[in-house]
Amino acid sequence: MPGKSVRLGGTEVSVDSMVRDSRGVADIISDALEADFQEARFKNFNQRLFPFADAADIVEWDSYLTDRYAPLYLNFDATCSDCPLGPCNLKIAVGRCGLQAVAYQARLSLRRGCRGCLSQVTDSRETLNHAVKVFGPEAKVSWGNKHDRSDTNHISLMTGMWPVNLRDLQRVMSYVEEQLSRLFLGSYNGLDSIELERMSLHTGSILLAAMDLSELVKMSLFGFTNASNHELTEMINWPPANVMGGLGNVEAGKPVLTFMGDNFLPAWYAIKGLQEGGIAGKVEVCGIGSVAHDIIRFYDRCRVLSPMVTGQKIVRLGLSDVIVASTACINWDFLPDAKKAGTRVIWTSNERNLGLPDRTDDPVESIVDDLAGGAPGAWVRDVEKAATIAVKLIQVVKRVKPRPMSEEEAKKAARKCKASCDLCLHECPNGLLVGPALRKVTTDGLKAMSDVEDGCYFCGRCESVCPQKIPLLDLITATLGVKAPEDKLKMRAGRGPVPRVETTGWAFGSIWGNCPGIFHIMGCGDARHRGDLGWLAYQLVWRNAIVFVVGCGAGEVGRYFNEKKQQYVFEEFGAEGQARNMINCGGCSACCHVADQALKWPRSGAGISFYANYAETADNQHNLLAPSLIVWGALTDRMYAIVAAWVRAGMSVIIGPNSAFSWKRVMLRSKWRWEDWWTLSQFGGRKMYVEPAPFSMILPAETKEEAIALAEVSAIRAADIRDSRQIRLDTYIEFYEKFYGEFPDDWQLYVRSDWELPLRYKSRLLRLLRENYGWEVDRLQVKRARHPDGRLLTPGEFSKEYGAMAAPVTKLPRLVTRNKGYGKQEAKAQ
Amino acid sequence: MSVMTPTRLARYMKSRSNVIIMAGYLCDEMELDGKKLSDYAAEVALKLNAPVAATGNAVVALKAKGAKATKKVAVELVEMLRYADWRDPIISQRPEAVVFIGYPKGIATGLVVAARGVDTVVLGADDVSEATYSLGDASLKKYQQNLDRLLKVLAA
Repeated sequence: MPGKSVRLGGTEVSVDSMVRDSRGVADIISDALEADFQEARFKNFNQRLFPFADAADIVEWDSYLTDRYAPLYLNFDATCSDCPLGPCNLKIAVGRCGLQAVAYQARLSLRRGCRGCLSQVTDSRETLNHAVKVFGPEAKVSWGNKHDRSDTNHISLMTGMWPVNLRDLQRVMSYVEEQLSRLFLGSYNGLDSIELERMSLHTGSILLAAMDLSELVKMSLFGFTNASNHELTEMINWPPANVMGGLGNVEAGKPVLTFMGDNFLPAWYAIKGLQEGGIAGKVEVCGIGSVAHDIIRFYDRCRVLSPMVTGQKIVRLGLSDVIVASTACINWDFLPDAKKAGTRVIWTSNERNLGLPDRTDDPVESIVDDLAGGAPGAWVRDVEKAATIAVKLIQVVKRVKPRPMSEEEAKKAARKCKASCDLCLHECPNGLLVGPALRKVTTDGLKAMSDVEDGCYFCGRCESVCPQKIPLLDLITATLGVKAPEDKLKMRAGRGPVPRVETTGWAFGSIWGNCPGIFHIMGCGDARHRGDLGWLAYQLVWRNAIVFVVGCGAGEVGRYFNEKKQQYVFEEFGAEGQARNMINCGGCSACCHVADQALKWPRSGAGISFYANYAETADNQHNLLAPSLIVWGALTDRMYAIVAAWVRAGMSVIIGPNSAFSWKRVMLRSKWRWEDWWTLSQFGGRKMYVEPAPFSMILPAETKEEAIALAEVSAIRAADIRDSRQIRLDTYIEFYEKFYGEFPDDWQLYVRSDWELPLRYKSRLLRLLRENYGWEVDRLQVKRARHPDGRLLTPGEFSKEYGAMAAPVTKLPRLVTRNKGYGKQEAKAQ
Repeated sequence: MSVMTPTRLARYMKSRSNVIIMAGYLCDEMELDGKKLSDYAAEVALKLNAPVAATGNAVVALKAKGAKATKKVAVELVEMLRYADWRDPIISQRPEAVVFIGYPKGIATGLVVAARGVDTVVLGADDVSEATYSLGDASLKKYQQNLDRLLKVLAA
């Protein structure tokens, strides 16, 4: 309804003045204005809202990101075949459509982000459709009792809506699907590389909105854990660390029913069936991939086995009697392995088949009979029916379990390996030293393959190039079998969202206290060394950081065992949103809770409402207190979109190890180009030269030690107050000293005064400032500091000309205050 | 671009006046008949009198062998090559050639693709066609022979 206005305090705010076209969104915007906006911000800043935002609506913020951190491509595809005019070799000339080589890389980057969104968006749609079918469109959805209208979420951020029922979510879903269609189209007809990369960032925001939707339905209607329905005082140990997983925790002698993929619905109905039938205790329910982490939010007896990436090895191992599977973040052809193991497969996804007969409309009993009689699997596109079949089948199925390769057979096979070959070494996408390990099997047996098994994706390239036809995948499976009894983890189920009342609670500790930062840790599994994720989490949380884990990475972290304390990492640390705590939010779709909690700071700290207000929210978050994300292991397409979401929200991401270098594009700028590092004062718009903080938005690391140091330096922000700068610098230097025996080469760039030099290094650092960097130092005090432009300045002059300690700053000219009386002191300083 | 014999590659490297070596994580993890790859990397650096940007965790072993090594992040150095004026303190001016050692093919390829305006040399066990020069595909045994030969020519 055009012409609508809302009264905020003494100010009448016209909806038409806030948005480009208020038709169809006037009610949404006036509702948001009334619920969460503050009069002061209207008076002082040029507020513009973008409900149901297109990529181009957020261009002012995305432009800052792509200008400051210009994309750098780590792999290059020169031949474009996107249209019938091609193929065009873009290394030789511009394409017939005008496409340049660099723009083609950006197209591929956008396409990868879109692919990453697709499986999640499809899963969210399926979840929503099913919920509408079962509960009706008026069924209520809620973030929980502790969540109020000021709690940031991506749905509200991107659309301006605060959804209250499934009908609202249908509108959100339509928006998500519309945006994804446009982005996909752009990835085939876009010509401007920077515009394409901005669209690529939009894939991330769209993905998080789809994840929000999925989580809302799961928590509101399917009984998933939701911390927002519990008291804060419970959070220190809620949910309890009682989920036992890993191959070694699967109870022998019981039939094993494994769920795999993204869709939790078959598991939800099957577990209900097992419980109603009184046979839940007689069946081992296991999970591979995201669904495992969904299941444990309503059934904590489920065994989390592994991420999807590692799942194929487990299928070949033959642990499961029945597998119920759906589309996931990655696809691999597991049917041949399941057949080999005698495992029966029930495939439930609508969008593709595995080559199984479509039995959706057949009677349950006939499908069960066929599968029990030896049929390898069935395609059943009805989740409730698939669940019923699984419950019946698991009670009757019998199979001959596969016999893994013996030590002697392994040695015999390994003897065929020639030291003059090593073709497998060149093929391994994870850079594993396959050949040397294999040759050691001849003397040491299967344990020699342990490291290779640890980092193996099971892609089979090594086996396919082996001229001796050595069955490498069987060797790796046998190695996994040998290690299986020791493969154990213990973790908390995901807790869902983190309400603002909790994020506000840790503000004091994370800014003024001795907390080195807030860190997010994710991973799809199969880094070169499986223990890396747990090590990363432990090192950070032990040093007083607030650590969030989510998705399959949370399960990998749960493997970390402190031998000294005889405790798993989830047992050792609390689960509250506080320093020295580690919070697990849930399965893959719960990534949204991690991002959403980070984006609550602008609302809590600066009173910035997030409704349809992306640029202002991300700008504030990026400038003041942005967590760092570490993504470790095999990097799936979905992770590409997740990283885009984090970057767009102003958070730095460290990716690694090996696959990070074929990630397509990274985003950073040299920290030595001091004149490129500036920000604007929100009071008067003065250009302030600042530290290169953070110097990267996406940066690959080779080792876990490198990753953790980079994550720490990425937690530094130009507007840090002294206390937080001191502890971040302290931890950064500590990591370098511990791992590399030297100080980092850039620590001096982050020093604004002697007050923020870490106490334990202070005298050494002051000496280095004097001897190596030309500062004037008198005992423990800086007398004159060296500006990056070469001038020697007094501490007072230096603090005015370098850094933005505790200052309100922005990267966006629109967000410089328009009220001349605001920030008088700053204006005077100019 | 092209695979070169160790002898020609060594001569080429000696002919460049401003070379930087980037040494990756494999320096720590790979052993060739009992000899660490970091030993080879350090010897190459010492013979060329070139600074080493040690990435991953390679710096400790390289320093222990006497190389002039500094801990760096691989992509950070490659990104610096985007600009005409070189600022990274590891080397005073823009390098003429960057020599990569201790990276598997996937990482080496990513880095040489991103490195602009310099010759790139990959001393690995793989043919990296995107590099200016590389040693070519080899078994680890052959790779070791290549490195031994390269060092011999560098010393001559």
